Amino acid sequence: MEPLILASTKTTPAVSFDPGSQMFRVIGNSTPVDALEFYNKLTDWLKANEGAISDDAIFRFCLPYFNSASHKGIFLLLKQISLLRDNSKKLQIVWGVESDDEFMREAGETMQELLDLRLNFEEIA
Amino acid sequence: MNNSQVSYQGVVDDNVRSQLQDFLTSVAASNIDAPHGIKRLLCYALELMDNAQRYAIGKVSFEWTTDGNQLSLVLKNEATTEDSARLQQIVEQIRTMTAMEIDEAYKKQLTNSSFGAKGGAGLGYLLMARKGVRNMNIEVSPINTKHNLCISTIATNI
Repeated sequence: MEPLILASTKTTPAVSFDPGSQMFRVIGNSTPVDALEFYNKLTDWLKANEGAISDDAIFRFCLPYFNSASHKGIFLLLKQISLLRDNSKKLQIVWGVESDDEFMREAGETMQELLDLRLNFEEIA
Repeated sequence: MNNSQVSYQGVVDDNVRSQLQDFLTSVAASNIDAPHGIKRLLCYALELMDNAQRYAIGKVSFEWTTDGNQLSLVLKNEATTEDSARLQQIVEQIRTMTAMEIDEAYKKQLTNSSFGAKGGAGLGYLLMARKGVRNMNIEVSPINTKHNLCISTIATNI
């Protein structure tokens, strides 16, 4: 199973979806004008590789800043992850938040509410 | 709190937006005594610049001004009559909504999986309004039969 590895760019975060380690990371600022194109790559990979994601998988999001178009892209990605969870997987979703960052915390809480999904909020330096 | 002003005139692309984000972060950190609120203010500026990259035809004019506890943002750009009328309609509609209606509209738009033809999620102005921006406006004046001049203005407390 090939991992999905994308280097960060000026407007997109680094992505490492690695079935070998069961760590799935999205890290960095996300401000692409075409967020749909970027996040579709991630959701498409998850759909195609659902069988490679085990119950102890950890999804880690650490996005110090993202634009509103990315918010929708991330929402759709989390929605796909929530479908994996519905299929009896007990995977964890870690949502990194910088200290005193009400913006990022509120974004996570909104998605948690709308998707009926539990995010583990983790303070990052 | 120190007053500050940043002006940019030129085209907007990924490189400009990225560098402007870094620069405004530094400007805000050095001049605003409210570190926990800086991201919110940057978000407003960068949402406008996202719109500029999506919809502007040619060069834009962008201004960031802090004066006391007020931030004002002004974006001037040329856009198609369709894009400018649609953005103006969105802003005028938001201005009539209560905080609860804005919150509901934001969540509805977030869960709607569609994106605009130019990559917009339809969330930018709703996001600003949800964060408490009440002073937002878009003035549109015709340049020719196909293009308008758009002047987008945001003002908010810091």
